[in-house]
Amino acid sequence: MPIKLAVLPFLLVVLVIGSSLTAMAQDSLPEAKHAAIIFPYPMYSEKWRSSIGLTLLTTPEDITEAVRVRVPSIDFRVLRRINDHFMAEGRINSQILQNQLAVGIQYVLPLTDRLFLSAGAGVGYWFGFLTVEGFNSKGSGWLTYPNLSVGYRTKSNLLITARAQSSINLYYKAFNGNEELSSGKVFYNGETFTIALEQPFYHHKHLTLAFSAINNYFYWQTWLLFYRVNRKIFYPQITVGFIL
Amino acid sequence: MRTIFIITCSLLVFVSCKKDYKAPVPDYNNWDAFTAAARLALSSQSRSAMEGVYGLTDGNDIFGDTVAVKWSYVITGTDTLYHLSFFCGKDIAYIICEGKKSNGDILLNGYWRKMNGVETGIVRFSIKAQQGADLIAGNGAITPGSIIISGVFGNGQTVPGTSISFSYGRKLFNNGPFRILAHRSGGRTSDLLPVSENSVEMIRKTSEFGSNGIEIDVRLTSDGIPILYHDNTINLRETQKSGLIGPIENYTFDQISTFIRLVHGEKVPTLRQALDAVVYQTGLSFVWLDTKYIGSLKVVRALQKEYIQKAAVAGRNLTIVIGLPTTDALDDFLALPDYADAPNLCELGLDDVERSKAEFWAPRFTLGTQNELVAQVHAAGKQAFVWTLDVPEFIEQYLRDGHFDGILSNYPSSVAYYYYVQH
Repeated sequence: MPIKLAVLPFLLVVLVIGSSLTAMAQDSLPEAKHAAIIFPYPMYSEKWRSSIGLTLLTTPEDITEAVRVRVPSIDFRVLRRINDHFMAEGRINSQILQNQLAVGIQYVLPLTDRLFLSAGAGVGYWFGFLTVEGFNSKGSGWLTYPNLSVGYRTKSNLLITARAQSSINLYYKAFNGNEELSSGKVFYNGETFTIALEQPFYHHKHLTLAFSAINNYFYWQTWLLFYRVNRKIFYPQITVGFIL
Repeated sequence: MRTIFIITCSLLVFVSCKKDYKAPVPDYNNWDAFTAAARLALSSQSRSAMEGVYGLTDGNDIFGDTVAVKWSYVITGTDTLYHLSFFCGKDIAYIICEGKKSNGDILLNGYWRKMNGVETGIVRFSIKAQQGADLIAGNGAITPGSIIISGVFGNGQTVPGTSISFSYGRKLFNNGPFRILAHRSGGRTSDLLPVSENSVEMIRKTSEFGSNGIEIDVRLTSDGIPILYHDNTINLRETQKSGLIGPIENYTFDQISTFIRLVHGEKVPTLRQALDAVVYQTGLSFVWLDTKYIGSLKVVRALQKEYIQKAAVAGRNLTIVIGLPTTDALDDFLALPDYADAPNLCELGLDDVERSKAEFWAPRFTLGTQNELVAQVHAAGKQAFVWTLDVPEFIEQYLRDGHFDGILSNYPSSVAYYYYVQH
């Protein structure tokens, strides 16, 4: 896929910002009812919002075969209000052997009191290592993630988000013993489509349940198993999180 | 209810996102000039003269700037079929052709494929008499630029129309015997090859992909017959739907032979059928029997012994080793009464190499080149192979920086390229 297509989400950011000048951007409902980490809801009064959960990824059996990594990854997310429309976001995924730290920024636009839109971009640094019998490997790399989300709040306050996210590989480095392989080649890596459901769970706690379809040439959680291939690999992923 | 319906539909759309990739070999048997031409009957000397490192003057955006060109053969009945393979420097591409003579020219007809993707297409090449065909026939010295292979290639099943040409540069690198070992007899099923991994059909084809040796996975049926099969269970990655489930060791060979077909329709071969194909139908010089089961290796050892003798009688220079990937396999091997005489390849530490009296040590590539340990192995008169090296950049690095005597790969064409284009 041409790299030019990957910048579309950035263009959308500009368009959204432009359109916001005329948008009816006010929500009259109490913010606490909408506590969400994926849903594109503005942070009007809260400064911070965070969630902790797990993601579970299924590796492609046709490639990894008998090696089926089903170890859940810790998923910690945090949002920081900047103003009524902008918020910063951070995310840590850790599986001990493979980890990612990501930061980004989101522009959020309420279209109506039920329909919301956001556009953003983030950058992630992944790293991993394995030094057990038969392995003396480590790897790291940089990726960037432009994204676009549409959120719809139902009458029963179920928050439904559809998110499309691109992934662009910026840098890759891997070591086997002393042998190093590194590449600064920037390439379009693939896209992730997520459907997320968020709703009150218990007392004031809220639950996030997200299903993601990841279609990537290279996925950092599989760096140890195989290098990027010249066709996209499908990874289904489920995320469960509790908003703190 | 409507919300649940929408969410359910959305999830269904999600799970349907997985694309089914295929890379079928295009049907290239419709080039009239080729079909009408006489069968190519090049002497061994002529075929050897044609092999070499060629530079691309057209088509290098698809196949890279350089290719290594090498012949292989397979024996079918009383017939020997030769294929000319072009191992390319870009995207693990290769080209495989059959050849014929036509009025002093040489025609090459075949297909190309990029192994790390699904791109493929038809190729039609020729070598004109005055552009090298005469020299190949023995009428003069072959020098850089003296052989020009030119023609067209296309995408998929379309009639080829894009120009491509190769110019002879130099001989293939040859620094003594180097083992280009194909994983699972030729490559993984997931790489969309035209035949199934661990099949007799793959053994017949693997030399076209650049390998001069194979690794095959050995298991035992419930009635004690060694067969080729990789995974722990019968599954759709390796086989067509059969109704049989669980470990393949739970079934007799008759049951397996009756009910199971590999993904491309082949039968699960016995080790005997596989070794028979190696000895009598191919030019392969190395077989690595990767023992995938725990238990007595007597029956495998008996077949190893039998086929080493058969290869010697047939005048074949063939090494067959029993692979020892685990300490359990090592223990089973050491329990053989004649283990000291059984050629074996140990994947464990050097102490275990000594215990098994292995002639070959094969560490995992994730440990690096380990040049000091490889030097120790060489000093002991043994050889070292590295497995399973698939990333082209690493293959190039290990050949350049390491001192291994062979590389096991799912992409033998990539190993062949980086090995043969060395100076």
